[in-house]
Amino acid sequence: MKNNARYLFRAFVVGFSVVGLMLTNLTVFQRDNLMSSPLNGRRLAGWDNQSLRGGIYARGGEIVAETKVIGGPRRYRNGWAWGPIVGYLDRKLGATGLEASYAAELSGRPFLWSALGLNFPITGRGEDLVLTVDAGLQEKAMRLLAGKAGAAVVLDPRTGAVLALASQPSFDPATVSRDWTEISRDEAAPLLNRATQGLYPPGSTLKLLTAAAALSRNPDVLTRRYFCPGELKLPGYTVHCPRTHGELDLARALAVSCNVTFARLGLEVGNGGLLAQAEQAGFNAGVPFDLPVAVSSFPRDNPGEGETAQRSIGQGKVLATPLEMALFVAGIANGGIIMRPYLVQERRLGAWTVAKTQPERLRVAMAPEVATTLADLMMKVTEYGTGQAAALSGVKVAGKTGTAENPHGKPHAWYVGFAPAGAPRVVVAVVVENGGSGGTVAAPIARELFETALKVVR
Amino acid sequence: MKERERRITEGALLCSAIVLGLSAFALVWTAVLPRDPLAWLYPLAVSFALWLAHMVLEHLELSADELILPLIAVPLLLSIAMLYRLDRWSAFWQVIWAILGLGSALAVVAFLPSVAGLRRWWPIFLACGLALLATTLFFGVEVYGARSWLVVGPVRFQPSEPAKVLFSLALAGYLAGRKELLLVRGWRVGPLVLPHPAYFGPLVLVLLLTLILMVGQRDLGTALLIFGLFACELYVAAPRLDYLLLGLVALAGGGFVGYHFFDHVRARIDVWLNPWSQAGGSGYQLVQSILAVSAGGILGAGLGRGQAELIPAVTTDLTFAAWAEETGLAGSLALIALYLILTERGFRAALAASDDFSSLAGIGLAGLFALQSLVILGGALRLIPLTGVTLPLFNYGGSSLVSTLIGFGILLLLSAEGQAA
Repeated sequence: MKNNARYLFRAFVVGFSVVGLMLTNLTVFQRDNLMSSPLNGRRLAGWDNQSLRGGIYARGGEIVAETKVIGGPRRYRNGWAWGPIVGYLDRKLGATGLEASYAAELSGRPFLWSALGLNFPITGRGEDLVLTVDAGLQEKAMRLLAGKAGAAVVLDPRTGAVLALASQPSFDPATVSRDWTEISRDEAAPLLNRATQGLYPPGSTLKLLTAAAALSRNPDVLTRRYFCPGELKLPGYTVHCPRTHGELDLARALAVSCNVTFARLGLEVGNGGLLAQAEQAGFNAGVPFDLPVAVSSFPRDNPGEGETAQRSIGQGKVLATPLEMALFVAGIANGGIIMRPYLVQERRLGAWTVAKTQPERLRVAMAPEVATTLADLMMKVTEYGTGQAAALSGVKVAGKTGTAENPHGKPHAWYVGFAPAGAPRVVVAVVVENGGSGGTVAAPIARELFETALKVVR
Repeated sequence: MKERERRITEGALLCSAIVLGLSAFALVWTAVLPRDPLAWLYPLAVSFALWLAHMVLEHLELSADELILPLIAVPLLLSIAMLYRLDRWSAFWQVIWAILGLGSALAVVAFLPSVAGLRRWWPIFLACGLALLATTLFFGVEVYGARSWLVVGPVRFQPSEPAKVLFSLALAGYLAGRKELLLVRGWRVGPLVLPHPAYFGPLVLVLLLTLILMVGQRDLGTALLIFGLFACELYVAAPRLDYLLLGLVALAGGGFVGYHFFDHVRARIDVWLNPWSQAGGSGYQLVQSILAVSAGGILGAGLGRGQAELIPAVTTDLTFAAWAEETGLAGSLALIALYLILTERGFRAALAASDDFSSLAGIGLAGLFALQSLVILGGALRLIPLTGVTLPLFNYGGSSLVSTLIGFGILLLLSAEGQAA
């Protein structure tokens, strides 16, 4: 009997130890994850009663969001333009966007301190965030997309600094709690950040990836002649072009966005080659960013020729976020190197700069020669191809349009590109849901964004 | 150790427990506005009652365990501080119940001639326990979906709490006389050899009856605890692996049947399996509990500086989550270590007893304390499905507090008898 009682006690020791291990797991190992979870929004909002929440400022110092007194209301300037970036902050609704991902810093308890066990605000005030986003450009991007559903990303390919991140329809952080019932029930999903969370078939913009894969394996594809009979019959799928393109070279094929030629190139490279190039560009992997980003996907299966052909023209089972497409194009603009994207340039505590974001390489998407060749090809898209509507006077623009078929109605209109083509400072990616043709709907929006953005970054 | 030395140790430890408790209260009192100076009476009254208990033990000249009282004092005083911060009215009532419970525990120690003498009363304990459970079926009031409360004027009473103590005594009484008989082989069912139904039958009958009552009241936590209590005492009294296996099979079977036939059981288990997908609805309590624990980090937000108001049922079920948020990993590990040591002192007292009944009763009481702690701690951390039982000595709940303290009164007396023998 006594022995059994001892075994029983040992069982309890085990039980309490398991509880102790789970406590350690939650408080040490899973803490960062759980704390920035949107489900934790109410706690994050409540932290503001203990310290003055830091402000958020645009690139030029313009106020985006500010709190004047401890526990006081959050004030916004032009809140309508900032929903996708800043998110909202509310006692009842919680927090999203930068308000959630920088909750610890904004409330003055950075995770570094809490890792030391210091889990309370020390200075009595939170850090201010200075963004890379330009206020004028952001407002312009939001206005250009107003009334549509879609997204736009503008970034500097040399550093990864995001200059604008627009998504429509959107919400105003200042009035989100008042309009909550309406917003949460709206079928157009104004709370969805389409720039980072929207997964779309990339359509013909993905031909850049097919071209990159083909050029990397065999530079001859550049000088080869192709013939487009208007359609290509494959087992299970027939690739169509809007008209018969006849004989053409790679530059022309990209400029007129010839489906047959790129389907053939894709089949030549094979699904494996396309997948490898896609993963090099960041597909099937998360993007480390200041906001949560959906994973763009290029399936790792072994499909038939029909599906491979569809994928090489951006249809089929390929899905990409506007941010991912912007990053891929930034890779082309930056000699093959994709820089890590970021929104927060600097964290400040009063006059003291706590942290400054250093640009860093994220991945190498392609060899520099391939990037240069692609940039030349993309310039011709603007010169005589589908992207003429993005042309600017005095600055050469390199781009690619896309018109992505989808099961929800009219095709999604895409445009990706950069300028100036010789020494790129600005990358733009635009998508308009069910907008129609990329060349007539998305390219003009991109043109406006190029124009403003080139004045912002020197 | 001499009786005198024991009491000196007890006094010194109790002093530090009181200093700890009062410091915790001071922190909470400063952090939470508005400050109510009269509220200092709460921890002071409990400290005074604890010291009085120590003096009574000294006066009785029993060589009772010297660690039990100080170990009880810590969670008791901390719970006053936590409750004051969460809900002042609860803190007030908790003080009343603590004093009442300490008084009852001392009455047990002082006036009960011996624990062994309780053995012949076991049928009465059983009848009273069942009667208490049955009352809620007829007069019970539903709280948080469980129909396990009686309401008399301003006082809410949970009959299952004293019933659990009564059952541990009744079961010990039944088993103490029959443990040899339970080892006699009876039926053979496949590889299992069941004991003779004449000996085993009544036990199964009572267990079933209790569980039916509990399911009728939708009080899963208590049903689980009573089942666990039976398993503990039976395992210690009649050490046969078949019983253990049978118990596990019955538990799995009960869970399976419950999952398929009772919506509230299914809801609990579904939330346990995936709280995140229902974080805004039925999973809200569990998700908030996990987030609160995690928010604490290593050293916590500081007493009175967490956001316990976000956790539903924080005073009655999940005070521990609030404690973890405010004192972090350090504070919560310390608290569970304390519960483990308290369990050990209970087992020690039970093992020192000279007769089977006392041993079994002690193991039942200490096991119940440990099980109940594990059921709510595991529930709050998503190790097992969350059920609404209290963390003994720490959550708000009068019937639970008084019953637990009476249980420790019996353990104190047991430890004194064991030393004397």
